[in-house]
Amino acid sequence: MTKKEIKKLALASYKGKNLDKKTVSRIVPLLSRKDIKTYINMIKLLEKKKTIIISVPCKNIKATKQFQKLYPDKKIVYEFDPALIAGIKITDNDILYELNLKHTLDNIKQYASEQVL
Amino acid sequence: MIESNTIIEQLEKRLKTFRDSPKLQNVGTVQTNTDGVIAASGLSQVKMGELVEFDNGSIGVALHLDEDSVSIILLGKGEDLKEGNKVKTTGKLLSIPVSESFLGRVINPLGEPLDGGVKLSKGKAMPLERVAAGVVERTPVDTPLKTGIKAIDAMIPIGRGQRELIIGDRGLGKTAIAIDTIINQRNQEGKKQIICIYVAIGQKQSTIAQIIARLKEEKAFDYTVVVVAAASEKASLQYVAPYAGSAIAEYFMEKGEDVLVVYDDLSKHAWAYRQLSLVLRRPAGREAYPGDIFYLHSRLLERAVKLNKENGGGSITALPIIETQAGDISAYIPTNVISITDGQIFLEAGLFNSGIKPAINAGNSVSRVGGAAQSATMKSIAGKMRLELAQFRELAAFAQFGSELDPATVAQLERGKRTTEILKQPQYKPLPESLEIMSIWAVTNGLMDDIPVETIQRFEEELHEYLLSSQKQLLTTLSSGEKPNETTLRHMRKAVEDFKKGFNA
Repeated sequence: MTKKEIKKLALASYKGKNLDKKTVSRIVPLLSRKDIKTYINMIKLLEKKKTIIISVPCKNIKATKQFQKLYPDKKIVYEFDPALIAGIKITDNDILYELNLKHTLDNIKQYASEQVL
Repeated sequence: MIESNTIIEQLEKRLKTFRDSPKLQNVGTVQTNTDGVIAASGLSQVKMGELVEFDNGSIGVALHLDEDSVSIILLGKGEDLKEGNKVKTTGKLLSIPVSESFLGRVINPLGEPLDGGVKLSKGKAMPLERVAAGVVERTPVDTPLKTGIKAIDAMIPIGRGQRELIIGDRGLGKTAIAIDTIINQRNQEGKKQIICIYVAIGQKQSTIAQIIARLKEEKAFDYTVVVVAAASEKASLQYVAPYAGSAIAEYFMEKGEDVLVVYDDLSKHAWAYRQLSLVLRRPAGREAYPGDIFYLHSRLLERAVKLNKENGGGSITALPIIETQAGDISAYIPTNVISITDGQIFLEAGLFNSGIKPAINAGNSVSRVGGAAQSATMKSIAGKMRLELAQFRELAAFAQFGSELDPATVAQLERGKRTTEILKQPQYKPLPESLEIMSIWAVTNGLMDDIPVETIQRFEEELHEYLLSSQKQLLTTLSSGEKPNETTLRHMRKAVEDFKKGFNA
């Protein structure tokens, strides 16, 4: 099976926004071992496109409603990352929004080291 | 010794101009790592040729954009990259930070020192891939680049801004010609120093070490930059090495300097690119090379240029080297590069084996710039030599039949033998133009006709010693670049005749 055909199968495995178990269990027995791996990777990619990961430095998140408004069609997953110090990091599939203090400090460090004394 | 107060002051000054802005990055995930090529998912916003950075600090260049994946060639260490590692775009093209501190150093194509010396100071970021200067910014090639090799300066003159290919089988002296040219750029008293860049692509490290040692010995290393992508390096580094050399050359050219770049050799460069293209699964064409193999070299060599005064007046002269197999100059890569360059110096195995070194086949060699790249002095002296040699070659083939020859033919043959002998030159002994002119003038005007062929080289050596010690004024006149007048010609004749009186054949 070609990659395009497997991609079509992966897209067809969704009913609305969610993965349909029945469709998946009908498709999987028809695929070879190698094709199943590609199929699973496609599903993972599609899931990734539908998911927003918001990394926060503290466990107490107050802005959940605002994030829901920002991304009404996507599933929001919250991650705890104390290394950020303050601010947030938003991962929307392959786009990363760095809005945190750690990133700013890293930028300052790189900017300062760009000139050799 | 820098004091801590100075460091703090400089840091504060630097940080005053810092402007932070929320950053949008495009990230991806490594799917496979094969033969120095990474396939990554994500990276939907990556651009062709963009620099990407892995989470282990390695960098790569995106060379293949597919619907669901991006193929990246690794430039740094990638042995520990595995599926699941993160990669992000940088928004930058691959560039090399060039500064004056590069002179006299050995570096890799990323600008990292390889000679164990002090850290290189940060310089101007020069992009490795760059569009060549346009027609309007250029001026015709009219200034000679002297190689110090008689056969080349007389018959195949190279000008500043020209591309002259050096082509031949292995072991015939291609690199030797390039190194002698670099060595000849020393001692430019009162004249602008030509910066030299030697790019070693796919060479043995022992060979590179020998070349560096020789350049240091001949005091030619201080104005030379050596860019190394040895045979043991990744194909990706060998692929970018010539472009790094070109980027360094452009830095100096933009300052108005004249630069010489040697690409040794582009055959191995083509092999490295073929390897990368095949791993990237690009369609293979003739001899399994990708379809854009011509563009690989044409865009590199088009960056050799002579700029007009309005654009600084600098120049880049390129000496690409191509290795042929069994003297076949009609193969794919050689014909490609011959069609790109402004001439070629063809080295032949037969000449090499018969003791003619440099083994230049003057018949197949050409400089499309020609006399425009010669001084008036050399042009007037060397004008008839090429024709005489061509006539000699025809006659020599005919004379093998052993038939009786008329005196004129015999004289022509004898003159040809002496001309061939005078064009022989030991390695690492480039000559100043004045001595080249004296040697060529003496032989083409019959002043060596009575010297036995076997002693011609000794005659020339002693003649040069005599001229350097007793005829400095004459040599200065010949170095002026002007066509010699009757007085100068008389002095030249007298000098040679005076020397001959004391020469013991």
